[in-house]
Amino acid sequence: MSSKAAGQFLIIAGVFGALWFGFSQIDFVNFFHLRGLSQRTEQKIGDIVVKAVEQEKRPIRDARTQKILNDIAAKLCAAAPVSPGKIRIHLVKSAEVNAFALPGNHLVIYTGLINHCDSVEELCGVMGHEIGHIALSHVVKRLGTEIGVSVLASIASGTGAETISSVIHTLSSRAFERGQEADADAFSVKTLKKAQIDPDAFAGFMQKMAEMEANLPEVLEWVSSHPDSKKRVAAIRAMSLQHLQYYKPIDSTNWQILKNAADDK
Amino acid sequence: MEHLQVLPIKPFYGHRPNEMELEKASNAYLMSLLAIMAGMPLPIINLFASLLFYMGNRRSTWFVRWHCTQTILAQLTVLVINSIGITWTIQVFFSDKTVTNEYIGYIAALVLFNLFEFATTMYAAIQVRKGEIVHFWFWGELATMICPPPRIMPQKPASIPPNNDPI
Repeated sequence: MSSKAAGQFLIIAGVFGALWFGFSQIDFVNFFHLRGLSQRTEQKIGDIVVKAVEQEKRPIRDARTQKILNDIAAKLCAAAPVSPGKIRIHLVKSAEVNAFALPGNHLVIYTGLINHCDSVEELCGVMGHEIGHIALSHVVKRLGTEIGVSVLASIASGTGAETISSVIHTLSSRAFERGQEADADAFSVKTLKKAQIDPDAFAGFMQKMAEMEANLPEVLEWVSSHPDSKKRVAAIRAMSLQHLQYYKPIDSTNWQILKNAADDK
Repeated sequence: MEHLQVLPIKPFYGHRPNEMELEKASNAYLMSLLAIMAGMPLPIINLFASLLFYMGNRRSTWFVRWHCTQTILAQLTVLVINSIGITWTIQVFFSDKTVTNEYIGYIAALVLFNLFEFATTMYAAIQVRKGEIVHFWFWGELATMICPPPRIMPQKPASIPPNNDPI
């Protein structure tokens, strides 16, 4: 390329770059309210959806159990880092092995999940994964794409009764995008390692659930909504290779209290 | 009596194009304009149209080929810029990317660039038809490098008549 042509190319590219930079300095996102749902609306939607879940399934309102779950979440949040107290945990009675994140930083855990966890580390792995979806803003992005921001906002204004069940169905029984699931797995493993909780238990839990799925498909909602188990187990194991000194996030007494609460008829 | 206005046709790299060449060269620009309108969401369509026109005229004179090359090069640049914009938009709507000021800024710059390209292409089509040569910045230089002008035999300079005017 001749130096004249090269110089002209640089000028054209420079003009385009300057235009791009100049326009980027204008705050279009705030001016046109494009940021999606405001934090307050998101919070309101989350509160309404949690209420609907708790009407459908019986919530466990035991202070000791709640404190144990909050302690685990606080340990994970401190390592994440997610601001402490950001995640609000709700334990509900259900035989389904399931846990899911909702807008407004709510995390719903079914007792069936705790029943099927052989160790607290397994539960931590699943919680870390769901906290990952919250921290990485997957929940609101997905609802915005699948349900629509304006429809979602109708929940907050009290006119979206049908949308509530659609939100619950979307978040509790359908997988996120493959890339988002992988990101949430990676987030969980990283968080577990930082919190000095054995991440291999998370891989073990997923493998166990995948093997059990053939016999008990109706109760293993979390596994069926989180496909590609084999690949993901391998990926989690690969990320967990570095062995550190691991500790139990809660003692065996508290774990037993949690198990008993989940087992309670 | 009706008078036909004969426009002066300027030589281009020593070549004086005839009417037919001017029309074909002008059509190269018109072709890309029509294709822009037809294939608005898919920028590849205008490039294809320009390529097809070039293929149809590849045995034509150097003057026509030069203008076709200039059009294709301009279209290629628009294609690259628009493809980035389309990919980014798809990611915003169907992936986990969000609308940012940088994204809107890029789309605004892209729209301006497209409008500028549209206007210059239209201007070039009109001017070339009139016999005026439009040599785009950068793309014109590149077109000359890709499609160099035929070697022109140096001509003897016409003898200048002595100036006998009184001072």
